[in-house]
Amino acid sequence: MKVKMSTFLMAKKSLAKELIDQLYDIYDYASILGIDTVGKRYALKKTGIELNDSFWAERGYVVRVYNGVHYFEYSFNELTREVFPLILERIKTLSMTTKALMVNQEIEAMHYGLLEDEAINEAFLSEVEIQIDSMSHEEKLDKMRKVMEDTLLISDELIDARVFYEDVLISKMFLSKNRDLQQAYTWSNATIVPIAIRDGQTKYAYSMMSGLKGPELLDELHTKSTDAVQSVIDLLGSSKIEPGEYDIILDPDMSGLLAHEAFGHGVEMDMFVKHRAKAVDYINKQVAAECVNMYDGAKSAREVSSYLFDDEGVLGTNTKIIDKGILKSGISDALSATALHTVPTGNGKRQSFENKVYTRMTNTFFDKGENTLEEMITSIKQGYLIECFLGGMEDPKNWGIQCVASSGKEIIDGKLTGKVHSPIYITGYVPDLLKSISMATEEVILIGNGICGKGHKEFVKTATGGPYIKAKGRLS
Amino acid sequence: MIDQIKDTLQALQIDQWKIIEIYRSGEEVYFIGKKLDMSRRKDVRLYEVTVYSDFVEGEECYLGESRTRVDASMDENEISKVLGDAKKAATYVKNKVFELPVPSEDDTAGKEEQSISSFGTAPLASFIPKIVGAIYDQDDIVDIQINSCEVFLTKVEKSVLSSTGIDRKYTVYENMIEIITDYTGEGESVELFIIHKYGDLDEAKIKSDVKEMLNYTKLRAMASPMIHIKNIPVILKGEAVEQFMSYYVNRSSAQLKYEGLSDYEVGKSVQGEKIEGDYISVTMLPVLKGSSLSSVYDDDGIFLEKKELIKRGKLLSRKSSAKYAHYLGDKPTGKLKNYSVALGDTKMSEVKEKPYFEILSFSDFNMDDMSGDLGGEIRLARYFDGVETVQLTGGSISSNIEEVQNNIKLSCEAMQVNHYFGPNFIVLNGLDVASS
Repeated sequence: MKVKMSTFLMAKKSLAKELIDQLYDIYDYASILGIDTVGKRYALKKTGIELNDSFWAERGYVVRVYNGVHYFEYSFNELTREVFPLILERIKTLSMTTKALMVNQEIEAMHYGLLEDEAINEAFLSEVEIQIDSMSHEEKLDKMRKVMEDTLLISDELIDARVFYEDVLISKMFLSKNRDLQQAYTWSNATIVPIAIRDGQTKYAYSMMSGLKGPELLDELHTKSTDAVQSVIDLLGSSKIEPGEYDIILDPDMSGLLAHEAFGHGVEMDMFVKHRAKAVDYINKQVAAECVNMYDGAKSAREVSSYLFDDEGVLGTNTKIIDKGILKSGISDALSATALHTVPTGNGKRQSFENKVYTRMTNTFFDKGENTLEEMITSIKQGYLIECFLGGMEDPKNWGIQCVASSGKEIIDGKLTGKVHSPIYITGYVPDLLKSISMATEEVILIGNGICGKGHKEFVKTATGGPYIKAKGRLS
Repeated sequence: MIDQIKDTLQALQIDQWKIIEIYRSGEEVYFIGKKLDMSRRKDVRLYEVTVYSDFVEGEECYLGESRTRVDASMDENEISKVLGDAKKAATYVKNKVFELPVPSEDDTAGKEEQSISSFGTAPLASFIPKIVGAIYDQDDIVDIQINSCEVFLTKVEKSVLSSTGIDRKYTVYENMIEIITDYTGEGESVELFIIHKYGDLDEAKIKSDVKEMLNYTKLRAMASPMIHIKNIPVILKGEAVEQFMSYYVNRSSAQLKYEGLSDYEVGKSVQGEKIEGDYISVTMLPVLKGSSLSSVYDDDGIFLEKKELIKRGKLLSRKSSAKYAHYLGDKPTGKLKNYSVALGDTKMSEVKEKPYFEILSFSDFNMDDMSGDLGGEIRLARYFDGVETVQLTGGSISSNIEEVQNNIKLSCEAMQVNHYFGPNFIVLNGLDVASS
């Protein structure tokens, strides 16, 4: 069934159009993005329960205008005809104070030119099996409780088996002189986090699920319990790894993290505008093994960052970033595309209506291969199976890798030995690692539970993933 | 709007609640080089309402709670709907009963805290030129420059009201600056990246922080790839020190104790046995001049006072909200955010008489509160092997708090990193550095 568009936003649409019309009397360009997101986050622990609004819940607007010199934006959350004069006054004041700043500090403006505003009039409603408000809080918690209880039974070394669930319904409308766009979609996330203590050492692991789904996701969660518990028990006996270069197999989580940090962040074209991206000199050049293909896009997959249009009113696309190891394309927001004279890819995203747009990833993944995991393990004389990402950091300028994994399982002579090392830092140079990719499995798995930051801020939802991939990596 | 919310709570027969009115206003400017990329402003008002519900199941009593957002744009029907849903949600949150905070007898600040920040003395927009001027003041080194920067100046006015009689207001200011510096001379271009947060206008500090970054960028340009180094004293500086020390602050929380994730016991060591290095002493502070997290109230309306958390490696008290304090039988400290760490007596000159590895910049330093794992990829470091000093880049360190905490050296000089005041460097002995 289709999700429901925010009636609040729809009721405000004509008023928003009026505001745009008034702004067009003053400025060369004006647009408004309205967002109304509702949702809850549920946390179930042995010691208590939390049930609050999701971090992503918000309601507000952001207006963007262009005065022929620069773009500026105003974020607010009350839109009535009575406040129009105040909104216009504040935008005018912002324009004036910015001009004064430029004079005072002898600053020029970046020249972006006028944004494309060709006519687009479209709407999108995603489909779910169950609407987020059709299943009661009680039922959701009961399902989570069952998963927790079953998980705790698996090992008596567990002190807790936390279960987290979040679902949101996101409604957005984008209006400009020629564009009239609206969309509503739901995504959900669920995570099991078993926690264990042995000899004073606390370890945790997690298993995740996500999708452009409603609470039907909770019926799939129980399938993750056994793996999650095994992971944390393995970690209890883990030790530090001897640093070195090894044959490695990255699980889909980790291959997704690699894709994300390497040529996700590495090809965000707002970094091209800032001369912060090495990738600009490598378009149409070999950056990975020939077996590597990589994608990003709101239309590339059906996951948490699948939408009709981005936060600048640009339709989402499917971008093939790497084609047979050759870097083909970056991803961009509209302003960056204007500066670079390229076509925007629908990757302009905001953390919230209060935040600026940056080029951001959507659903980012390596494409499938032809091998099996067993073949990959068997092919390794000495190496590690790296699982369960903890985090990463981008380095678009110098293509350094920092990916952190929870676990590295030792492989000797084609077999897992049972020895586990933790944590695992993967460092090195991106093309070295990508060019060493020699095998990939047939199934691509994406996960959208995490949060992506630009540096250490501007958090957005993205999905990452891929197949298992075999490569050579520097571990510590 | 607050009256409307209160009326709705009453109509729904919700007699235990908390309302936080938040008015967030801000000015932002974004630069590429020294060109203006964009400017922004925001004015946002919203209400966070927490609804509590007493209920009994079998022989157990519970106090459930659920927090929801009420927007300024909501009408009566919508407010009723969201609060009604929160009331229902709270009845499924089977948490142990605790006492809701009440107005403190020790509250000397009065109903409205007067912010000590200099940002409160004039309109926010008036500070932007001064901040921008301070940032670009040092941008005159050949081949090294500010690649881009973003300036955020935000004022957050909060009112906390509760059914138990709390009625308090406070204002916090945060100036966040993100700066990327790069080298574009001969050879490969390199960059460094940092975010600074300030609670006050301090042009001298901004200039000094930017100058340090530009100098570090120059060093990174000359740096060689990281080599493998075994068993070396590692010097952590800047933000990494604050992140390291935050482990002790976070592990001292009543919540982690209650949840079985912290083994800290009042009166016992937090640094393990047989401490050969310096003892750690931590004091929580409601107000720290220059911090963007200074306030004498928290979001429960609790009046905050200075609290000694750890003294010479022993836990004296736990940091606690009203809820978890009640569960552990403590007096709540409230959600204190600023902290100071006592200095040691180690001078940098002494450390640098022997081989050392000084990390000037991480890509991202990770300090895991649960496992104690610490580490990260290194953007820039100095290595002295006993003969010569070189700049190195890449590679990583990886360790665990258990391996280092009984032999930490704390500097005798202090620094402030937003909400942290304490040693400006620490030395972790016996670490290995992995090559790049």
